[in-house]
Amino acid sequence: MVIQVENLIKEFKEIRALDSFNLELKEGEILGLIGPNGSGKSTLLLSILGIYAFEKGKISVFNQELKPNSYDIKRKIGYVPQDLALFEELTVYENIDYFCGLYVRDRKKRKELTEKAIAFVGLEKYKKFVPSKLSGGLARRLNIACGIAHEPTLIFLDEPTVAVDAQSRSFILEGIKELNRQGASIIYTSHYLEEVENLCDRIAIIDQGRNIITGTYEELRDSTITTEIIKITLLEENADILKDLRNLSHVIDVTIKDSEYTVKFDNPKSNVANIVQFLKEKGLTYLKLYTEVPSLNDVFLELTGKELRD
Amino acid sequence: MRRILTYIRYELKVFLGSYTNMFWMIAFPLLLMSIFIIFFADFRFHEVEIEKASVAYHEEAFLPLYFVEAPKELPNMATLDKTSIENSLFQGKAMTEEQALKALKNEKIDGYVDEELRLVISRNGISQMIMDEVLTTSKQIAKLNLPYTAYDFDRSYTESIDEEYSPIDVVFYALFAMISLYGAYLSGTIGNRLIVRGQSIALRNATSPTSKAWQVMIGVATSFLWSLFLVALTVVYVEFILKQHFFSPDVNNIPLIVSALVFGISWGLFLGTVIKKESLQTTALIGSLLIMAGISGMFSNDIRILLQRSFPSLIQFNPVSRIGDELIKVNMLGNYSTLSSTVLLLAAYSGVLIVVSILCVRRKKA
Repeated sequence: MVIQVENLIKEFKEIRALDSFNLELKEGEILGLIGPNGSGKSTLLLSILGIYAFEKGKISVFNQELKPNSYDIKRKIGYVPQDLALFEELTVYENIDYFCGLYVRDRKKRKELTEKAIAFVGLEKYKKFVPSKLSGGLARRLNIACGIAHEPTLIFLDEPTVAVDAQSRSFILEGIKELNRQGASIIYTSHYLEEVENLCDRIAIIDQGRNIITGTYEELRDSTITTEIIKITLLEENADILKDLRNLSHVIDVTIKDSEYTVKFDNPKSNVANIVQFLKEKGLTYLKLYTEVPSLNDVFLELTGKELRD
Repeated sequence: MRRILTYIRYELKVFLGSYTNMFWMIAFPLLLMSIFIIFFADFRFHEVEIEKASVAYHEEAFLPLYFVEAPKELPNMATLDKTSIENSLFQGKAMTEEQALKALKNEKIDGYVDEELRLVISRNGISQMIMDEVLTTSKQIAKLNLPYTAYDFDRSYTESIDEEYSPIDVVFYALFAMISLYGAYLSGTIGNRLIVRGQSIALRNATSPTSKAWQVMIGVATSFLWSLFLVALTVVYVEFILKQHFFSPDVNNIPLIVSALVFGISWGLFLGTVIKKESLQTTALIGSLLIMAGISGMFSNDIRILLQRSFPSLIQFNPVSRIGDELIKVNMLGNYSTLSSTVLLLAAYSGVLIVVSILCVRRKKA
């Protein structure tokens, strides 16, 4: 196990930021942490990184407790903070070299790693630029390069795609996958659910300092979603069908919008076959018929009773 | 070593990387010096030349005051008139102590020298300082059982440019003393990069395997080199560009300036670690340096004299006053009597500030 958090309690004065929190990061996986602002994601990261002391519980990183002087463990860790942590007066190359130098003493090796990191985030053309001359997306890439230049095997990425254009976001996400392919275990926090769905092997949903559930996307969906939504577009409109659909077993709601019927069932599976059979019996031809796959937001809504972007 | 040099270079680039910082940290002190010299250089020696200390003395104290100037030929001591004196430094007459105290109270004389060569004054000033210097030297001669002719006749308090000293010099040296503390501006940033209190760069540094001690060492070394450079630049600028001679090539300047630089760095380190908000740190740094320099007479020698009368300990314990005074003594008067105590005081201040700063940097997790 790369990280193991057991029954962690962290309090800020009277506010409990983390409440009996448990988490595991397995070797070689990308673990996504999702939760609204103030849910405890960053507090968790900083507790694991040894920045925050905590009231109760246990955290082990690479099977050891992380102390201020645990230099061997720290050497394996890369951290990309949520805010840009860059020196405005240093160039792209110098920024990466500065932070890489905190991990790697050998000058030749550092130069090699810095060049590699620049190529990795695609900033070859901007080596001599200062951060203020870079676009938001490029500055984010530089922020990442500074955190991963020393080739860590455990990487913490705290919302690395905030306020980034689509092109840079896609570049960053591809980069994260590549880091993972190269063997890095990653903890990734984000507000963007589609990113987490596509990128992460497992997802932990955090709310009010508690880890509500952890699992693969499919596991989360199957364990929480108790309904199914099927959408139908018919060749010809039929006034009576609305009533007939409502009378079908397990149907709890039917609506129509722009000639598309939305049928909601109170059970999550095996409703498509019943609908197809029903339409056949009625002699109705359908143009489109599909099950709407529940999103991570639906899972989140189901678990916490609120939208993630609240 | 190469790694250290690389980081010192980065620290300097971060510190001086913007035109604004370059202006405030390099151009501004030189500009202040230029303005000061342009406006005050003409007044520098004028005031001293026209003023003689008005002195009253016990007859037994006549000789030390008389021998500050070498007579063309040695006088007959038996017939020498000791009731009055007039030379380039002093004018006055012999008085009883009672008369002298009355004259002092009415500010008719600058000081009274009793038979034990003790100086009685009612206020501080240049005249009093010169009298004190003459008497200290005389006492040393007497203690060594040397004749008064052993007095340093070559030393002149008003004619030799190197040894002249005016109220304008007080202002200049206070300004220079403040500039010698400029390392505080750089060392003041060390805390922000090491103590996690919101700045994301501090987070990065704190999660790295490089020890805080090493990072503090880099910051302190850079601050020292930077402030040494600034002091050297200022001296060269004043001596060779503005052609004003404030500095003598006296090795005693070295321990004094080094201890001033170390104090400046410690002061910045202290404020940067104990104050959390960056904006407040800058305000505290600028404010504290200006206050210390103001007390030592940077804005006006009169302020300093006023404070010296009302709160003498404020001058005595103010680091900038001590640095400025010592610079005057070393470079203008060739007097080293309080140099070691000033260096020790600055070292003690620095020690305390560094210990408190280290405790703040090493502070337990949030």
